[in-house]
Amino acid sequence: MNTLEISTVIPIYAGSEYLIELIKALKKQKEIWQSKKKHIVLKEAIFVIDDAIDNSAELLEKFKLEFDWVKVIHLSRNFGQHPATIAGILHSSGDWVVTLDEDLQHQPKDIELLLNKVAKTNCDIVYAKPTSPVHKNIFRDYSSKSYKFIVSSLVSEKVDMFNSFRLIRGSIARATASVCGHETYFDVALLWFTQRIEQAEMTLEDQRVINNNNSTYSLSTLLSHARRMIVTARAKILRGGIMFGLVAVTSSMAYSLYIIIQKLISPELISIEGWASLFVSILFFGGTSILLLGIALEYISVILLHIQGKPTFFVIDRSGDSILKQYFEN
Amino acid sequence: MLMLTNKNENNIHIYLVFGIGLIGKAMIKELKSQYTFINEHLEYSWLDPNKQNLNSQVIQEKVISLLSTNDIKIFQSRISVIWSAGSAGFNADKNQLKIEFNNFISLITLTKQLTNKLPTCLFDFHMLSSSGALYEGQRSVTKLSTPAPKRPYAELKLEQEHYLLQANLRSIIRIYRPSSVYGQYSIGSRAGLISTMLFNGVRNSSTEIYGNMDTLRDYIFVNDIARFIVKKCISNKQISSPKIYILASSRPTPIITIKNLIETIIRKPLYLNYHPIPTIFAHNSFMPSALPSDLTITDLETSIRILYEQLHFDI
Repeated sequence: MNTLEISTVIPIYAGSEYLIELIKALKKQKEIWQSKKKHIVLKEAIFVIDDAIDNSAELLEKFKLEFDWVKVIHLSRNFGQHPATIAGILHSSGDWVVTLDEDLQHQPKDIELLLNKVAKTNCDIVYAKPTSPVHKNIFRDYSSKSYKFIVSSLVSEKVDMFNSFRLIRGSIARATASVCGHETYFDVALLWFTQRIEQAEMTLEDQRVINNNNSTYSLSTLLSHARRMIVTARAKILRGGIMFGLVAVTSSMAYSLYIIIQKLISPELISIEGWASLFVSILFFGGTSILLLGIALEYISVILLHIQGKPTFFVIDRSGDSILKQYFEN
Repeated sequence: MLMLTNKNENNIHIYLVFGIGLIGKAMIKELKSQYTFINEHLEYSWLDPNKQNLNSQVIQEKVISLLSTNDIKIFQSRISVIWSAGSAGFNADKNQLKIEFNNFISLITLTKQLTNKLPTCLFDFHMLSSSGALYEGQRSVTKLSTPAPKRPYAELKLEQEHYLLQANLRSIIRIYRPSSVYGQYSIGSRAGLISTMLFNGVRNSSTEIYGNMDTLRDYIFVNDIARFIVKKCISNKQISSPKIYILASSRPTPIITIKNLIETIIRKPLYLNYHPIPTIFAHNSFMPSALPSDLTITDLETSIRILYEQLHFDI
């Protein structure tokens, strides 16, 4: 392989205000790489129209005629950002796939920062890491941070590094996209294929919120995201279920034994007739129920992962990374 | 080969379909869904040149006799010659390719003879080539991309195209370059990777995969190709120069996606054996701008489900 091809995937919902600038920025980056002649090519920019609420579709159809590297996919209805991203990735062919937002929060020129991280670390995924608050709104930024903290505490995976500005090795992106169902959280599914994940620091600014104080994310959308993330990830509660069951049954049996011994040795300490037997029964059956529930949760966890498409293995070829190393060394 | 005759009031449209494999069958089915035909299987030998010559004479006589009836106006009639033949596959050896090329030359000769004998009749020649072969290893192929054969099979396809274009046929010429075609599985004939995986999956057999899980190909459903070609066959639009069409879906798909889709549809795991042959690792994909604007594509999941239903019906 002597050329590294980059595909960008951009879900579109309400981006008409930013599209012209975005296309210009992508075109500029494409030309920069072309002028350097160092075997990196922006091969295609895939725009996924997620039933856009403005005239983004019309604008993009015009750009498609003007630039043959612009690809436009129309979804039949609004499916959401993750499904739209997945659709775009499934139409990509690049060695690396970069996902960006429609509102210029993610600058195409910063793709090089992501690629640089790969060159240094030989990783498979690079997430953008904002160096300063993105929304420049105390409430929004604090809410975003709190949301990630709460979800992180409920799942095993490091969800706080997830960002919609990501560089993903093409084969992994497409493999992940192909296993994702409508309830699968894409970034969690990526972790099924690789653990080589890094972050690249950069300045990110959500112009839409800064200028208009509008966001395309409502509270219900955020809750839906959280639910999908918890369902897809190895929810700590599921894994903890069987442990809790074991602890419950062990401690209930131990305490039951204590009550039995006490009743036999010093029956006068338990004055109420029938209390001991009743309490032992409650402890035994309660503990056993919790244990069985924990076992059932464990099975559900395994079945869920299987249904969601977690692979047994995936074969990778990282030989093309040498092109990136050469590019950044020279 | 199959001769389909659609007779109207005072003209006839004759379709001579050479090659009734995956694409040929689909085209015939599509044609029959549009019109009522009188069809006749005619012998055409692919292996014996002498017999082939005789068969060729018989075909010409049949065609001429159909056009010679009193009520038929020859100048309003039409003959569509469709080459969808070729038993040689991607890994064919030189002998197989030589036979196929010779057969193609024979067909061009037959067509020339017909055009000479019927100088007022309209002719169109439709040739199935292969963009999977011609653009092997190329990504984001556009209309301006140059075919770069990497194997003898691809060289054959290019040679056939050049031969046709230089043959000076008095005919409208349309060349179709489909990407990786898939359709209904048929024992004994080439069916493509998807059909093979589906068939083997249903029967709990293993499939040999020559490539990697992430090898990208552009898969196009045979019905989409058939519909497009038949549309061109039926069209009265006159074109002044030969047209070449790339028929692809513009959705590059890795093998792992196909595997996951089929497993979801048949509700059981597929058994795959991967054979890492480096020459087949190369990705192949097409830009939407390379495709004809009037090509409609069935999405992958829908078409695989259609094939699965057909398979069930057949079993």
